[in-house]
Amino acid sequence: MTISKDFLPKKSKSLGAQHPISFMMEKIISIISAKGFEFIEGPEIETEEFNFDKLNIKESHPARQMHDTFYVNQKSQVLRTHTSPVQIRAMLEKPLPLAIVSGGKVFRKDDDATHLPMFHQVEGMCVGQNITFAHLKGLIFEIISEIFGDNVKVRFRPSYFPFTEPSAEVDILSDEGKWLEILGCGVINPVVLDNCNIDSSKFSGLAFGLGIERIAMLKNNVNDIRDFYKANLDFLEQFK
Amino acid sequence: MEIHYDHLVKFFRSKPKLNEISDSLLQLGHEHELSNKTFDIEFTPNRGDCLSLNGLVRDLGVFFETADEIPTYKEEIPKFAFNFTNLAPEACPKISFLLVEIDGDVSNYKDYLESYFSDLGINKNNFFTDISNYVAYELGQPTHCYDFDTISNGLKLEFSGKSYEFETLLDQKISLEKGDLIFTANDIPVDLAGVMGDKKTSCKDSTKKVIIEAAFFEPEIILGKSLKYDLNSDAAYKFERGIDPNLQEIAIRRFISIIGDHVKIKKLELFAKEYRELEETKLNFNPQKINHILGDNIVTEGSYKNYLEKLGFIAKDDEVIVPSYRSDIVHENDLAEEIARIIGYNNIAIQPLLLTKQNDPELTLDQKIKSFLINNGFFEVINSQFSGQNYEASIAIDNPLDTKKTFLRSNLEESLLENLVFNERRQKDSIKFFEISDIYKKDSQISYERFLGIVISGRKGKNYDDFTQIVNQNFLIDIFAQINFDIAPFIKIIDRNNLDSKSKTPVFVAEIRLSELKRAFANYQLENSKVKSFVKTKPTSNFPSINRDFSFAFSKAENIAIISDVVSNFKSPILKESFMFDFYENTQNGIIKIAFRFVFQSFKKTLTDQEIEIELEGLLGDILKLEGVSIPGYSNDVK
Repeated sequence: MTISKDFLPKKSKSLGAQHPISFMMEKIISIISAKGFEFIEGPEIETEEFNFDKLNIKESHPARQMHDTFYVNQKSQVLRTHTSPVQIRAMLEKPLPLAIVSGGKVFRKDDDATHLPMFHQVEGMCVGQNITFAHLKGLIFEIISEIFGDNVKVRFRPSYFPFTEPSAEVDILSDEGKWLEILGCGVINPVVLDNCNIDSSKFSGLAFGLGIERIAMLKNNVNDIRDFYKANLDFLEQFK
Repeated sequence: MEIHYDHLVKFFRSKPKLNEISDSLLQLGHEHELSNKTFDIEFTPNRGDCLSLNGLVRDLGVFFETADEIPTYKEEIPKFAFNFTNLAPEACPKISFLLVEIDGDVSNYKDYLESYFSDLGINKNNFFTDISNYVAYELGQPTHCYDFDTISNGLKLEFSGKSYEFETLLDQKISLEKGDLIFTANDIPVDLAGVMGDKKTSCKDSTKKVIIEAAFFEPEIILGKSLKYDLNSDAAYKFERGIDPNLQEIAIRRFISIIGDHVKIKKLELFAKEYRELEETKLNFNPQKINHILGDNIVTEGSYKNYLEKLGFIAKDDEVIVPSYRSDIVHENDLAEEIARIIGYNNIAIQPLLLTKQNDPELTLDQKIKSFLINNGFFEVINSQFSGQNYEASIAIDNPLDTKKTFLRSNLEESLLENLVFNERRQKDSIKFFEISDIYKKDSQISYERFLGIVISGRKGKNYDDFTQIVNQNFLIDIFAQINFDIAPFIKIIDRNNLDSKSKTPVFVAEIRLSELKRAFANYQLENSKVKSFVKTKPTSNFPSINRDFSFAFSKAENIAIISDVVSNFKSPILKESFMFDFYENTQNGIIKIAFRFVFQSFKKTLTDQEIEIELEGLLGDILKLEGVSIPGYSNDVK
């Protein structure tokens, strides 16, 4: 007797899985890229000038205290605390108008169930003529509905970032009826444009940034941010 | 900052309800939590002007009409010939010292003062310190009270020329450093300026004669001092964020008013000095610019003026004069934000941003490599950039968070081996991980390159062909041969003796610069292009999993599918997974054997053999009921 192959269960190809953070980052970058934003990258070790000064984060801003920032190279450089230095590089190097999206690892001195010393951000920026807060709202609504669906409720709140003015934080309403903060954004502060040799009387811009872990926690139903970085196969296999 | 609803609401004529105030706070950008009528508000760092009852009332005043002003002492105050030397006028351009002597004891506080302590659960200290704390809460001006007798010879404000031992009024002993801004009396520091006073000169319950200091310090002078010395200082918090430079006299007069509400004042003298004139901020009055920033016809000339005046700005002719308490307003974008806050961000119209869309961007090399490896059974991991290993080119973190991880990692191998060991300890016997990351090093200067790291060990897979095979170099070589890349020179065999794991299978790692893979992936197309959706994960257990393997023997080939169905339909709260891992056919006697592995795991405990047997009994019973099916070496009595 010979067993027909038909009787054996199908031997499907054994697939692995992309890490949920890298998947989420690629997904969001692709959503933003599809709107006309060019993808660019920047280094994780930055100068204070690019990470802080040119972004209007003055010496007196709490973020510059040793408490928040990792310093390297005899304190002459920092591990970037956000992906915003990539904006500065783009504004200094690229012709106007420009629209860029960037993503990657960022570092802050924090470690608990909702914060890690290393996490990921995606950030977008657009500079041109007559770009306004209303455009920013339009863009953010589009991005959020593509990530969370058309029916998601969104609200804008005033906030403070030294590199944008006006600045906003954006919340979505969860299924449990709680407002959850998912991104920060704003009209680029004219001081930042001037710092990058862009005439702020003629050009304006918008910028926004999303914390990838925060959104992945919401979308993937993960309660502890540390689960992303244990390399636990029981966790990773769920993303096949 | 905590502010109680009852304290706030008495400043508004319309007596708004809790939820009305809460909604207005949110619209203005003051994120908060509400508990037992107390708002715990997280003011953004630019809004030092809101760090008081009065400051918040001022901001909410755009929505609710405010009632009477806070009462202050209105009489002329005699001059105080205080011996004060300011050697740091750039750091402290304005300062006042009030000499007060009271006659008698204070037994009970008036309701407004008493409720500050009781409603917010704040401990009382002594009469003068309690008023100082209250004035800071009410007006936002920190004050410091010295027992007159301890500093009667006068004070000097200076940047310290040497280090000092210092005991704070809260009994903390610290070493002040050279360069700190300090008040000294008889050349001994008595106050870390803008942060905290010392123990010896502070007021006590018995103090009847005090000197009350109210100053304006430049924020950058105070910034970081409380953190540096681990001092919990409300004054420093306020100074760091910027207080109103014109608030000192109002605070002093309010202080006097409160003292007078409680006890007879015997003596009152004031020393007030301005060392540097602080300039007014003036901006253009340009409603069109505001509309241009916000992108809508939000304001007219009249409405713009009205909004500004509600916020305390003076709009006249072509100018907007910024009130002294709004040090955060320096250009027209700031004014646009003020208008947007009042109107409500959610009420500003949406406009589409129309950009020239590019063609679909090409896949990046990272994306191609990920797709390739995932299709060959690998799992992507992301590891921390921090490491405990110090190599020649390692970059040290100057201020590490974890003293065991003080360098940036110099390779991917070490993290991947940690991932391997972590999973082997969790009974995982098939490891195929990869990571793509930039690696930083320092030679003459800091540089970085992107690497692919791979680690493999254990079983090739779970199906009946792969389960009994162990991965080796050839496994990797065959995979990369698909893209004509010779990975052999990059493969390294890891000595198991260096790994803290009981597993015995050989371990292989490979670490390759992405630049070396560029050509191999140049024409690579995605194999699995289906659009993935977001996965809702389930929690993972921290308890060990336990495997049970069973071989079923029979002669009818149809039983393969029947048994597979029974297994796949078997439901158990502790069964994590099951799969067929072996198949054997004896052509001599016609016996077929298939083997299944059942993996059990609990979220609550380590499972016992008995608990697993109970779960298996039903399943095995169902299978053994099938005609001609047996389990070799197992009691078939359940049939």
